Amino acid sequence: MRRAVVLAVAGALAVALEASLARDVPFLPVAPDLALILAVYLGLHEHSPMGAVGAFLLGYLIDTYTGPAPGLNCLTTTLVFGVIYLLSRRLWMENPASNVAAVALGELVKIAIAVLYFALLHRQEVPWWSVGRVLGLEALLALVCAPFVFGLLDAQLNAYRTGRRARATATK
Amino acid sequence: MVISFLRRHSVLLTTGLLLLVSTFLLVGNARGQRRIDPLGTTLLEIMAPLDRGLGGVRGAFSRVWTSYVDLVGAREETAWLRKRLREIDARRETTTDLERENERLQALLDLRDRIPGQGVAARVTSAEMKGLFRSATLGKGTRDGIAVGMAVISTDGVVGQVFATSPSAARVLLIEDPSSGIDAIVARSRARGIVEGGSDAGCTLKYVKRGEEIRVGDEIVTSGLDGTFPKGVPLGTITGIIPGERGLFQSAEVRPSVDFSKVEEVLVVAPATSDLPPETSRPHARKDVHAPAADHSGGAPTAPATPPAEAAGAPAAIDPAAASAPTHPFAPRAGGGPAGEGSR
Repeated sequence: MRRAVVLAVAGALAVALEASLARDVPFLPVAPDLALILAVYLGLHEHSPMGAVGAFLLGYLIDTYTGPAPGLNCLTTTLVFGVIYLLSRRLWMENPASNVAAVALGELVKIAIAVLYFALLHRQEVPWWSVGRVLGLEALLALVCAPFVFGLLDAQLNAYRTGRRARATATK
Repeated sequence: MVISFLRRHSVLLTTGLLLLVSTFLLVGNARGQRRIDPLGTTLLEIMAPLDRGLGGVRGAFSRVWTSYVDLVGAREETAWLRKRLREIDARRETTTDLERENERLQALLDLRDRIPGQGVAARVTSAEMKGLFRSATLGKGTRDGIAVGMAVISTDGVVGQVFATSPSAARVLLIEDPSSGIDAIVARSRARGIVEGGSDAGCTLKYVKRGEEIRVGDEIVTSGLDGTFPKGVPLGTITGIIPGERGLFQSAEVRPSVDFSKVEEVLVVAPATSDLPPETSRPHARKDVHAPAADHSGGAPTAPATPPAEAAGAPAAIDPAAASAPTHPFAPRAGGGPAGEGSR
């Protein structure tokens, strides 16, 4: 239960920060893609339907907060979760490098979905240069932030696991 | 079996279902007229407290950041303003210098207008103010019309006389130099004498008849009788009477009217016999300087052609041509005849 709460709070914080960070921090041209990083984390560590729902909700929150196209971010985070989930079932992805690689893959998925959306569904003329620049910067920032976010979440959840193990040993 | 399949693939099935929902939302919102966002209002309400809390943190961070940026901006602005201030100061100094130079040159032009004959304005390039001899170098020479023997004056008064020339430079013997001597009159009493340079700073008014009245503060001007300097150009002011002299003449200490260390531009004038026009004379020049010297005929001394000690009476009038054509750098005694040892 506590794990779910930690992830929920982290998700809410990530969405709130992502929605407002770029606006309030002048030197940041774009906000780091925290929701996508969390979706990757869920895909790596939360192999349950709740993980998929969490990823979906993260994207949905982003859509609600900032998205002019409801569905775009939730589609992205859900698909990222699915892809990472499938990969992590077949590959060993428990080291920092593979985590960053997973985030990079997630960003590629996001870029692909954005390109498809703009190419197929967007009604106005697409400012491709601007779209590419924003997506690229978001991806770079996400790659930079990912180790810290993963480290924070791991620290919180490992502390929880350690405490639970200690309590179980004491009971025996 | 179905339940087992569902359990085994629950994650993928959930993911697929959510992907379908997401695609429906995306396509529906992109194609439709209405916004399909069933949970949006609820999620906004749930997130509102968190957003408000973060808003405070963001505001504080933003204020800190803005203050930092302002501080950096203020520092850069201060540096820029200081640099600008230095530039403006330098420009102001230049402007002030130019204004002063302009004033000096204008005064020199006015002086040239007042001086009879032709005058050549020249810049003093160097001056030897220490040691036994006092001379200066001008930035113009024979190419500009300057010749040996010409008088050199500034807006304050007599500077000296040209004693050597080259095509582009000229040397001037200052009136403070011991070799210099100029025929002069006391502006107030019209008493005549010779202003000579001394080894110390300052000049001496010599060969004034003992019966003539001279006082401290009297202004000494050129007499114009030497044919070199125009009449009425200030030479200096009497600062003290030299006591205890016997004989026919009396002497006085004279402070030159020109501060030679500060002279930058001068006017070199050809020897002329005419006087300064009274209506254009310098403001501090007394009018009586230009008035006819009624008492000159009464035995006032002219420049001594022979040593005073040897003179039996009033010195004879000097030959202007001889006075204005020095042959040795320190020989000329403008208006005072040859400066050879025998002249004193």
